[in-house]
Amino acid sequence: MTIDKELLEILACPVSKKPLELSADGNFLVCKESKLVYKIQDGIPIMLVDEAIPLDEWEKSQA
Amino acid sequence: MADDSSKQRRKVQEIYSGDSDYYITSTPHAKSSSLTRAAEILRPAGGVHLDVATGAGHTAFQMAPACGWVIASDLTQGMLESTRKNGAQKGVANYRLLCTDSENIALRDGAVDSVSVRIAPHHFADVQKAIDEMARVLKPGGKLIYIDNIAPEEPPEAKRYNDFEAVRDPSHNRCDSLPVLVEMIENAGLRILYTETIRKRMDFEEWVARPHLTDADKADLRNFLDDPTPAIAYWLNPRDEDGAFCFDELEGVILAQRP
Repeated sequence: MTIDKELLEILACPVSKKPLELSADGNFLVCKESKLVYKIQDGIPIMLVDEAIPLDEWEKSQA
Repeated sequence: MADDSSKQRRKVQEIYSGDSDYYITSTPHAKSSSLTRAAEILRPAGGVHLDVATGAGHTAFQMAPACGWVIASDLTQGMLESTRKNGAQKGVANYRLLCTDSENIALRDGAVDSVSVRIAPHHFADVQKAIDEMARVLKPGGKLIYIDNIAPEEPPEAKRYNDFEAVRDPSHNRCDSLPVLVEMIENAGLRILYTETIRKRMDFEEWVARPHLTDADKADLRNFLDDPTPAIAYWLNPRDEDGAFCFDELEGVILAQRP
């Protein structure tokens, strides 16, 4: 299940409050500002800092 | 404070993950008069609506027919699965689910036309921060409908009342009085448009029918209601009515607008 486009347009990182980039596979939301990556599960963005993945760690897992 | 907030969030997540379907049918959440009053008072007219700490989504789905679409948001992912079930049962389609913390809402500034929060802030670790966030995501002219159980104004009586609620629900953090809530909403830069108080009747046996409560807990709660201070007697009005022992909870309803 992919994220809804209308929702994506108004989503923000809970830390930086900046817009997010959708990963190429559509499963993650990336904030370059806070360097955090948020999962999308069953179409639900999980925008919790406690469950976010550090950007460098996520980039390694994608390589 | 950050540690206390994290602990409180984890406590809420643990309790609501295991008990989420209960809130689809729970009387105070699914059937209390504040559910219909929320939409009557807010009067949403199209646009995007955010329901904070949606639980099983009752308030979000009450707003949905009058909105372009609604965001049903909650801290607990398991609870959002119950929201989805409830939405399917009600035949509501114009909603999206968002897992977010009410004190760090994952939306851009001025993203939504209206916001609701109902019978939830007493679980929040930092109510002022949550209200600040609700104000931030509102468009200028957008409205907030804020509904929660309220405590007596006198601090010792408020403490007694909050201690009573915390025995029954370990994720209960604090109910505030209506004037305190009004002050916090004004502190967030919103203008108060309207307030009211609703009494809701709680059947004691139904209220204590929670799996984690022991017989000793239930006896303590009953003793509190059988021997109340005068202020608590007025506030909760414990009584036998229609063959059942019952009492009232008071809900404060506040409508506010971002200038």
